[in-house]
Amino acid sequence: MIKQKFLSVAAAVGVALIVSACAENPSTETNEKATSAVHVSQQVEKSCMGCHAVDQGGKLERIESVRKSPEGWSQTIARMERTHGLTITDEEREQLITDLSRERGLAPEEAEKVQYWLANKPSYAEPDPKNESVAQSCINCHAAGRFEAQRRTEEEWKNLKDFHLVSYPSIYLNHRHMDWPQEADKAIEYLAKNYGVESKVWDQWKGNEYDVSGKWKVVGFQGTKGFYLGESEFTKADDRYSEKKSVKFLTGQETKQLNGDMKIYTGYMLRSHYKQNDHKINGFYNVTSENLIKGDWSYKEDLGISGEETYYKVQTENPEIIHSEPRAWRKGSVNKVTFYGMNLNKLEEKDLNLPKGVELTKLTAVSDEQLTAEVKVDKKAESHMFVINGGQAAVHGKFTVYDQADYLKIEPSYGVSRMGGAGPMDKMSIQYVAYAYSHGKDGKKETEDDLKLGPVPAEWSLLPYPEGAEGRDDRPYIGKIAADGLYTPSVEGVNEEREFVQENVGSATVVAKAKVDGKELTVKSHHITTVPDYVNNIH
Amino acid sequence: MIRRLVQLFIFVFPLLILSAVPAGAAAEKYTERVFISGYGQIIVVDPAAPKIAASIKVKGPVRDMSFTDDGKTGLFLANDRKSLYVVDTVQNKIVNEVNLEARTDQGLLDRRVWGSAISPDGKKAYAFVTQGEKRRSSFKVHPSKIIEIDLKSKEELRSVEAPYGTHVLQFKQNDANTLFVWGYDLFELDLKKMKLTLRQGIKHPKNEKDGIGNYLMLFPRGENGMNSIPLMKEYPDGRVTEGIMWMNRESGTIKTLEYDREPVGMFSAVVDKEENYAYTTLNKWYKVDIKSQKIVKESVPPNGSLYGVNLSADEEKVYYSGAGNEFIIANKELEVEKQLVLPTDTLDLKVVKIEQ
Repeated sequence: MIKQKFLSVAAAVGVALIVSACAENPSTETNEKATSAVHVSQQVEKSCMGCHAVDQGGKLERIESVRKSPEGWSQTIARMERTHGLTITDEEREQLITDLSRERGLAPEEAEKVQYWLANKPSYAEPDPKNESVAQSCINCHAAGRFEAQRRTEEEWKNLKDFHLVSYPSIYLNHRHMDWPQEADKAIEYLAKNYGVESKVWDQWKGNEYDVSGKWKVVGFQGTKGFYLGESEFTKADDRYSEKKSVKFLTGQETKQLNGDMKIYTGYMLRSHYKQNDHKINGFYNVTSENLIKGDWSYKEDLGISGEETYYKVQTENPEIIHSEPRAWRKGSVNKVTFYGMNLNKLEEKDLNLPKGVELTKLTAVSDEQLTAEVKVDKKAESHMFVINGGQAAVHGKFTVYDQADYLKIEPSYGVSRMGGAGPMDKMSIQYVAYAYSHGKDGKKETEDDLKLGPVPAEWSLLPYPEGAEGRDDRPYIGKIAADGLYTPSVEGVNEEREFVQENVGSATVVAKAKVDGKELTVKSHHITTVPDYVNNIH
Repeated sequence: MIRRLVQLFIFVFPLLILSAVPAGAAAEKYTERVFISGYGQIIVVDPAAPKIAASIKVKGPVRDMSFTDDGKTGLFLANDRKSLYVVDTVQNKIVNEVNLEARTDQGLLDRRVWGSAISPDGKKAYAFVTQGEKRRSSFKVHPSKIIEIDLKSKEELRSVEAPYGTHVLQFKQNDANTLFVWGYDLFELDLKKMKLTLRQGIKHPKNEKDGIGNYLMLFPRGENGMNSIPLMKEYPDGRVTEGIMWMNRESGTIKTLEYDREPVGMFSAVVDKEENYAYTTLNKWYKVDIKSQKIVKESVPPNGSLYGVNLSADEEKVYYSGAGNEFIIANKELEVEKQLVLPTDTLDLKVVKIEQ
């Protein structure tokens, strides 16, 4: 029963009691693997049971009714520290994240769909949620990845609604275009059905763990710099790994050396921290098999400097093509192709099962790791994307036969950069990349059969936005675009040279011009430079 | 010679005194003060100088401000919407603080106020609260409601459930038994029966062809009897218009107008008591002729966005504050006449006639 008097003193005492109950400072002894008698782990019991009791079903309240990624658990623990008085050491925090991710984590299939969110990919255009109520009630404030990277019981999804209304009571004012509680109820019904805590894939995965020790080949792509190849070696010590990696861009830039410290969470989520000269780099990878690791990396101080990487386990038995340049082969031409990989001296023409109208006319070994080839594509060959099945050879990636390059697209299609660098807030740059496309079989632009041909070198510039608007041009203030497409925003804070707006925020139109297969192509996209990510836990 | 000087003095002296106070103030015997919601303080401005008359320290940013009929007592919401401060506006002193947090048998009841009003006689306060119970390891939402508080004992006397979206409580003029409750729609609370009824659908109009109204009344007006707010309207054909909605606090009649131009977004509006002109503000200042529904004058705030616009007590000047740390006096042609630097950033301003 709610007492009706305003007992402010009692309230303050109550807060102190709750805080003190939550703030038990557990010992720092090493955590043991959970047993059936232990709720998640000894560390979780020590740090969490001051507030989270065992419910009637024998589970630790709340905690054993949800599953999350390491990033999700990290945010939850941070909130417990920030608002509920939890006091723990760095080692204990790390142990909690490890234990919770292991016992209450996500299956690889569940995490794959939200990799963009886990890796905090910049300017990423998230697909619209399938459920209209979810779209209405949730993503006005944060990304769908935030809750799609969680699994909860129906009761826990309901608790999330109450959590929002109690923690952020202004929610109904900034959502006054809808009845938020009602919309949230519908969203919860959908989430409980589609993101329930029980799942076969998790039951199958839980308890497994990859060991990534050993040597790997690396293929990566960084916007503005292109593809790179490299070598890596992981060494295991206790529950962590160290990595030595060297990579070299195909455009001939210098070799980069990276040394990293990393850990595998939930048996497959590899989280890396590198140092490369003055830069700190974070990696968000998933081990998808004994022989394959895929993921993303970004600079700690500038999320916009980022790339994608795939690791292939080094083996000495069979030829394995891990990268090809180019991957799009034009019809009616003899295409000069370079294959990169392992044991390529053993590769024979018969190992590559090419589609009709595509013929390998010349294959020359440059080394055991590089081949040059001539691929003749008949004018009448089918325009399509395909994989190469090759006898004893493994060929990774997809290839394309196309008629002609018809248009360009810029990625990201809506670039969001953030001012920063003058104070405590980091800036966020954008690596603009122009991709060539072919219309495909139907000869029409922006249809399902359009073929993405790959990144192309382009000439970059900015136009005022909106074009032709008199008296408004944000370009002198918001930042600069380099010849390779790297957009660097200006610093945050007051710019006294600017009238009215007074900060270096604004919009521009990005223009890319490229000559592809002898054809001049131009494309435009939208760019904004906005405020630093002050609330970076709500993304 | 001396006699002539004395006669002149006798004639001039009253004129000097009269010229020192606004004509209206002299006739009605009031002191005009502008109360500005600052951060950690209520800023009291004497607009005649203009100068800061007082700074009243409270916890956190100040939100709602309401006053008794005689203007001598004010109710201010602050402390992250958890505390109501009762202020003696003559001495500029806090005389009472009501904290709305409470205990339950399972934890703490976190109550936040989104709309509050002091009764015309200053004896009671009314507050719309959202309620969240913070239990040991979970949060539980309780229904939102309007509570009646006795300001002397700080006891909650009565309450009634009220819909989400409520954010302004305002007494009907000359009627201490009726509260207008502004939310997504306009409700009326009969304080005798403590019964809430829908008065007019705004977000949910009877006929959607009249347009679905959307407003956020963080800047309620009504000191001159006219509560007014910028209003966005969305029509079934996709048309979106911007304009003003205002209500005569005595009759309860609501009127609206729509500008003849593209919406730019406005935060607050004030309508003069003769309903001739309206003034709105945010990144632009508009003066709107109500009869023709045309914007007749347009200007730009001198130092950046301003949230709040109000009229002087005699309705001869336009006052602006809210957002930055400034109070601006402009004439009715939107020309800035005086500026006053304030000690903190601000949210809104209320113009109060304090009876002498």
